[in-house]
Amino acid sequence: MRNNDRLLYEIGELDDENVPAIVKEKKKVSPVTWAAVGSVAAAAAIAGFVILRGTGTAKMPWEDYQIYSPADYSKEVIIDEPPKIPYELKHFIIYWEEAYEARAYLYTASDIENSSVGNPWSEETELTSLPVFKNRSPDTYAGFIPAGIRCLTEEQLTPMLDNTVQALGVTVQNSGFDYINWDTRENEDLPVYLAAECSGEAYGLDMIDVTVYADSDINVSFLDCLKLPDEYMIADPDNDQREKILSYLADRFKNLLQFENPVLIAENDKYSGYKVYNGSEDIVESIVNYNLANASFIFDEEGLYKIQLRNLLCISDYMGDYPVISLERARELLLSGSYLKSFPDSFLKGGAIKEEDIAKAELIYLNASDDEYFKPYYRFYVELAPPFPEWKEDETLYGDVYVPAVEYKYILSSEDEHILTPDYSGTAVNSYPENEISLPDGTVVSKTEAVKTYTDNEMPVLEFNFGFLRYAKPVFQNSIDDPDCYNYDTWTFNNPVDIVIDDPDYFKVKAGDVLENGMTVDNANYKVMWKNEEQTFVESEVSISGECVYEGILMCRQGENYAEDVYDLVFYADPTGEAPLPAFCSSGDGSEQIETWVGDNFALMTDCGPIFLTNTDSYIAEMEGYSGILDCDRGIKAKLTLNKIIFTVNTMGDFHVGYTYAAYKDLEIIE
Amino acid sequence: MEDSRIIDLYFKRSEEAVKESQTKYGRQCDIIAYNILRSKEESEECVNDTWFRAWNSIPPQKPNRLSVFLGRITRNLAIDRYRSQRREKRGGGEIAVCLDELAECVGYEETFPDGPSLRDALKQFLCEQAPQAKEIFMLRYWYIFSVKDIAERLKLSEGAVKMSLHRTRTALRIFLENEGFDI
Repeated sequence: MRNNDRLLYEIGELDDENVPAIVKEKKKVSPVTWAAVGSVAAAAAIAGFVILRGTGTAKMPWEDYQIYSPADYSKEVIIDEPPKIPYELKHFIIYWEEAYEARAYLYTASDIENSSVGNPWSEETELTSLPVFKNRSPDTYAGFIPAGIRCLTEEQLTPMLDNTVQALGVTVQNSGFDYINWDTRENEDLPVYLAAECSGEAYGLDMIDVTVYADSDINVSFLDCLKLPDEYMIADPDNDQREKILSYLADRFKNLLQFENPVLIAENDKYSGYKVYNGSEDIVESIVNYNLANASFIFDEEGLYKIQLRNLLCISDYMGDYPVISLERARELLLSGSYLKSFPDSFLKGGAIKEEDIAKAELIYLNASDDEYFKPYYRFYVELAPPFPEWKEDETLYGDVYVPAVEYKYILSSEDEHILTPDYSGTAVNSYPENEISLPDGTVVSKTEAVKTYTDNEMPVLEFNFGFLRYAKPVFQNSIDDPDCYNYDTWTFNNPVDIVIDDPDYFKVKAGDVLENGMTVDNANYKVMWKNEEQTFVESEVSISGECVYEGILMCRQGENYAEDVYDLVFYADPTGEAPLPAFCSSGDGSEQIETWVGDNFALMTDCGPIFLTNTDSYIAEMEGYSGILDCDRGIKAKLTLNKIIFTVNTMGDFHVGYTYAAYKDLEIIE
Repeated sequence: MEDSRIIDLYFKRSEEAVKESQTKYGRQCDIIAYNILRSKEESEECVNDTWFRAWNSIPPQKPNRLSVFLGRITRNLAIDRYRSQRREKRGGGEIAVCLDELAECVGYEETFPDGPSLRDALKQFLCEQAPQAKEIFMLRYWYIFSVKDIAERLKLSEGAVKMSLHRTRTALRIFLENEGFDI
């Protein structure tokens, strides 16, 4: 057979995993099958989402231009492995100068009680997955371009207005589009909204404004306020009365809402506490509609002022059903420091969240139209102790803290503080090929349990739980903290304690000592490089040699300045291994100076977490050799044999900086 | 219907197995056959033969991925049919272009040894490729998709697809040469 024919044939005979799917199959990403958790979850996975169904004679406002037509919603949406999604609260990060500003973003007990009234989710709800939607038009340019600007077009907004007007039973007297009006380029022709002035005769009013927005919001404004029948015009309605008012409104405007099963939510707010969404037997559909497709009635003193309709599903793409964690797991993550919030740590009681501080938990989708993804969170309200003096006499205040509901493996790395972020050793553990790690004492832990986060001075620092990150004892004296502690800073400005070079305890080791990892100290000495009346510059060095084998994970990490196509190969030693890796302690902010030294093979650099493999001449070739195996999220097991390590510290007065150089004898990929 | 249930029907020798296979994977097999044969009638015959072959293969085979199992049957049937046609007349179509492209990589001679070494080498080579490059390569040479189809499918330009294929074929040639294959 000719070579090319043979090659074509052999390509066809490759193992299944090499063949990409063209008709994509939905993979079961949860260990529990849909059938096992019941038909509700399965129905959610299969049926898609019907958001608004027409019931009356008027067409539903979105019917003609809904991005997903009702027919699409009823089809099975088949997604391959759902892509990772980012979780961040970028627009929540607010810094306050004055207490009263901060006050506006915190919650009282009454606020919490009212929060998520009508939420179909409860603590008893069992969910294995929830859908995530990608907003087609998130806010951009830091809010200078309104959200939705790149979404619905004139051709889509026009029938949207027509149908709304028809549903209301009013006629348009004049209308027009509003466009962005600054000189930004390609968006000049896209509308922000289409607004119409309509005759209000059907409602006994002069005028009604109807505005349909490019992000799918619809506002119906009764400028002179619509008065309801007397029995519903109550100055300060109680709960029962609010429910009756809402029931009346949902019925009166049913052609506009077109909810088959309107679920009425009367909140404890006489002006804006009237909400409706389309309920469903399918709990997932109910949750989605509650959060992302709903209607509000807004009052002022004179009567009904506005109806707001929102359907964010019209401007988003379904990403897939993502496995979600339980409330219990979310609480664990919260208490371990893995969460997102918008207020400073100084607001927390005792600087950290404790179980007794948690007042309420709920599952919600954040639904600002400028969110890049509409995705679920667990929201916890935690009691605060704000530091502003004027709050001491105020009622208890709470802050909102968020834990992503989606399982961690589907979350993109985030730069936000507190989030369970892969970094240094955390990256290594999370990229470990197996899902479980065996500790030296035989305990088996899951990867996610092995990494915790805590903050110190609002800097995220990773530490391993169970204490299984073991470093060899330091080779230099720890001049900051307890000399016997395992880690110490290598980069410390304005260290209040001067290094005393003549201190006999300065070096913790001496020539001939055998370290825990089996390597032998060759020498431990210092050299005064120069000296004047004020300063002494000293170079201290401890070098060790021998052979020490570390098992761990080899993977890529993006190089400095995140330059495209520049990656480092990094090796993370398995912290549960027999031979703890001697290293300095990193401050976590990557500020250590790291230099290369060409040894027997490649030079190594270490900052206590990853060992960077690099060679000034040929690391690119090595990278190409490993391409296809490694990326920034995935590692491969490897074995690294070190044969020399040199620790140096340069000191000058209260300033010192440390370096580590090493060479390795062998790097073996473990299949 | 889930694959496991379809396979179960094959094992139970229920004719529903073929019906369900057709429903779920008929379209995929149509695509594969048509990509190679470029004839509706011949593709249909090929796909019909696929169900027959599948019925006779399962059991004892129990495919991991039914889509690939059935797709491979169709592919092989279609390629065999194409080769048979080629003996009788000069043909064109996508498969011919693919073979010419692969010939740029490994030549038209008959120098490859029999046995599993080429497949093993291919497996190792593909393992080292970037995911997208690998996907493009397989869409081209497993499914015999045209460059245009691949570009549309992956939302790339045709130029990007061509470049990727060219680089991968070049890399494959170097790889095979280094592995001792006579090219």
